[in-house]
Amino acid sequence: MSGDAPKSYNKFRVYQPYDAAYNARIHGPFIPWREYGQPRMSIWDMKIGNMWSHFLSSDKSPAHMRMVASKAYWRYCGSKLSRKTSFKPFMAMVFSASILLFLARYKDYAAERRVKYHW
Amino acid sequence: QSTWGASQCASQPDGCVSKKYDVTKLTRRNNEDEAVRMTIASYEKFAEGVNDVTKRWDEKHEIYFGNERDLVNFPHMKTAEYMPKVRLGVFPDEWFQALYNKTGVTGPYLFLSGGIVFLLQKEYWVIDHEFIEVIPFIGVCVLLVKWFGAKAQAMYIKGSQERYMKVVGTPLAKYAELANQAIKDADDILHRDTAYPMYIQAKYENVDIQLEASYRDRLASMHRDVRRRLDYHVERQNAKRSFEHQHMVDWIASSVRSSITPAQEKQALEQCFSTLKNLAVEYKKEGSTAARV
Repeated sequence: MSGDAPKSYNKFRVYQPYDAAYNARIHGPFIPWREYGQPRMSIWDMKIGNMWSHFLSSDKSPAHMRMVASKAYWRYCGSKLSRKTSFKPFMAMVFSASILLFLARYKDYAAERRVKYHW
Repeated sequence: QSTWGASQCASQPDGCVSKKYDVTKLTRRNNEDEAVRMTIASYEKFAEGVNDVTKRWDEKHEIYFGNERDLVNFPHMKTAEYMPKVRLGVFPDEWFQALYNKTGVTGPYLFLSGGIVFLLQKEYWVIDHEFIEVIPFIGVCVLLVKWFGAKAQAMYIKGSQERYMKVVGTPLAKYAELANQAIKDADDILHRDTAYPMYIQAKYENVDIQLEASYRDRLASMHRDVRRRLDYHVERQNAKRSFEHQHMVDWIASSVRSSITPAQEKQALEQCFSTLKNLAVEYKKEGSTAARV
């Protein structure tokens, strides 16, 4: 980890893919669901009309995509999970899975609309 | 005094400390006892290991919790105890809070219902034979959570606690106890070090006692020899004097005996006989006070 080294080697930054701005001396132990450096723009502050252009201009390299995915996962773990768990994650997974699978099979459902005789 | 005996040590105000040999200046390295050297090496290794651990801990502590640590923006991590709130079982409360300023309390609910109505009316969500599954599915989910939610949570919490104690809690407590025991043992060993001057002092005292004993031996033998010589002279004088006395007595007696003439001897004998006869006459008389043998 950068910063987690003796004083003579601090000038050589060790490779860590999570955050370029993380410094152990200032930020303490690395917590994945925290933002080090620039704060992340939350989805509630974005405008829907700008989302497509923002996506087109974003960094689509594999390293950055991996970082975004891992940060999203850790953000869910850090903010939505707790020591005394409950059924909510399971229900959330079921709900989201059912919607996504519905959308994946939407072609077959839509065909039912155009059929002349419904069973 | 040149030597210190046991009684003299006890009578001193500071007990056993020998004033002739400065024991406090002795270090363990001056002693060439091999057993002591081996124990010193093992203790130094142990201390090295302990110092490594403390050095590493100090290094890491200085990095993560040093002066540059920003605790205002990046405070210590806290995990939540309970899950965040949800509405209708699946929608997190923070979505409702984020939209409160724009749409009020009923906004998201209207969005949900309006969305469902829109999908049904435009037939994006086609009502086919599988549509009816949605209603009992939601009902079953609700009933399951109602009946078994609390029990399942309790079971899971108990299991997670057991796993935590098995992996973290018990080993940590055990290690803490071991560490405390190690500290106590180390303190005992350090305390034993205070006895080393006494041990050396005892050795010196042992030698002192032996020197004292040999001195007294020599003193006694000297006394015996001198006494023997003086006694000899005394006995010699006594022997000489007693011999002189005996010789003089013998000489006088023999000279007296030789000076007795026969006429004197005869006269003495007659005197003795007449005395005896008188005594016998008196002895035979009744009521006499003569001595009866």
